[in-house]
Amino acid sequence: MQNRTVMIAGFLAGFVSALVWVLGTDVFQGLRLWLEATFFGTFVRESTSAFGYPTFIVLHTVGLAVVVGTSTLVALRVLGFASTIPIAPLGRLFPLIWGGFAINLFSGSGLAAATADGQLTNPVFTAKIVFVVIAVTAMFLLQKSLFVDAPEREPTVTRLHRQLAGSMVGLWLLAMVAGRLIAYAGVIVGR
Amino acid sequence: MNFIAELFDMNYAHVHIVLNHFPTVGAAIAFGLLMYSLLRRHAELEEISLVLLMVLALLGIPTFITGAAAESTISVRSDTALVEAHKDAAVIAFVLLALTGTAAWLGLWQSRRFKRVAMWNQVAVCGLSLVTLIAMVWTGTMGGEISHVEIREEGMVIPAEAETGLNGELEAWVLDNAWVWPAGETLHFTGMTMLFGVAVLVNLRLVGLLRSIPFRALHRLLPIAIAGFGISLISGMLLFNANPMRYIAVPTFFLKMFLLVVAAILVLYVTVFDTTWNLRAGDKPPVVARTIGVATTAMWLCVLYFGRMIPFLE
Repeated sequence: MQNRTVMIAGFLAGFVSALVWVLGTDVFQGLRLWLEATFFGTFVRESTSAFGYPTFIVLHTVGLAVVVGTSTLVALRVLGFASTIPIAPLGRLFPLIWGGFAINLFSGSGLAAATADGQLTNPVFTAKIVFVVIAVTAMFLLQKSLFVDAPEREPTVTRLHRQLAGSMVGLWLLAMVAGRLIAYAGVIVGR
Repeated sequence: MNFIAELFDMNYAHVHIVLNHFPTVGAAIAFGLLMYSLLRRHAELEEISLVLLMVLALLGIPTFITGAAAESTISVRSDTALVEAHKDAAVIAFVLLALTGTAAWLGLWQSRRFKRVAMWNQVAVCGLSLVTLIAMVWTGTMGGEISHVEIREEGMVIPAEAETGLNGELEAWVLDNAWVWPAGETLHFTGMTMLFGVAVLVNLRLVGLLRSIPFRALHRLLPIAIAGFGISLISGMLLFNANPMRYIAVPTFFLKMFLLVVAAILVLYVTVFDTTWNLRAGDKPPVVARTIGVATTAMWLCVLYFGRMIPFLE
């Protein structure tokens, strides 16, 4: 894995996290309300068609199951669990995982835009996004370092791989807990 | 199960009366078979009784659900105290049956992987299935007395008001503590993700992708799926039990439960049958494996869909 890849990934992760936090400040209330008023935001919030809010929620759940369920198994294998499974073919799971992530990026954007002012000012939401961003970065770096150099050969697992895999699983758990708790922020942080 | 009910012009009480014979009578048959197979050291018969226990545990889910639904059809009665007592017994019997089914599955998994069932597992399945049988007889007898007044003991007095038994306390615990509901939901999602991830990997191999992975290696992952299923089952039942009428009012809830039980074919197929176990690296899966792979993936997606849609279909 090239140093440049790590640097770009790290920079992007920091940038997106900071952006989500900044968008929640008072200065950007106008932008948040504009997001709610966009066609996308209004559609997700108000459409009574078969593609409205419930569908976005369902898509988000399916994407979660695909991304977290599958990538966690890859991480467990990297950590030494089920060591009879060859690692090399697991690289072929990543198109599926990134497909699931694309579904969640799309459905998540829709859900966030629909109630942008409430979501972006919710600290539980901000925390969830930060957890997801770091988890996805760890997943991307794990994929790049394990599979891309020589796709057919069985890769050697190093300490770095195990650290990436372990932090990814932990962050997925945090992201899932925070994600579910967004709806209960009123009870938790008095909102 | 509501579509079956409509087809035969039955209500939930009827469906419950049909289903409840499986875990009760089934537990007796499975326990007898298990004892006989262990005493005669008959490995095949032991395997059959373990499969039976696993299937019974799955059938326990619709039995429990329709039981809660049946209560709504007989609410105008003087013997509700008996119904409450039956529910309390049913909760215990259900949990014991689920534990027995899980232990039985672990036995099947071990016998595949290590060629034999561990001693501790045999002891656990024997003990659990005996306790389950006792709880089932207790629950079933009380259930029988609800619908058959004539078999009640002579002079049996049923109090007019139901006591707050185990079920009531469980319900109050879930509803009175603000953290239990979100925690239960989070666990339900986490368990689902564990199950779904393993199902994706196993089904990809079953439909013919990831062919360079021998199936035996994937077999190692199955306990993660079962643990996930257990987490979702316990958390889901806890939430269901706190407010059954809310879920029963959702027409697709029964469809979700039905699909869930049928989709468990996947677990049975990859645990018990030789076909999957013998798929080495590079082997093409047979048509049956492909069919089960595609069908159960579709079913699990439907389970996810109908589950997540519950709040929108109330």
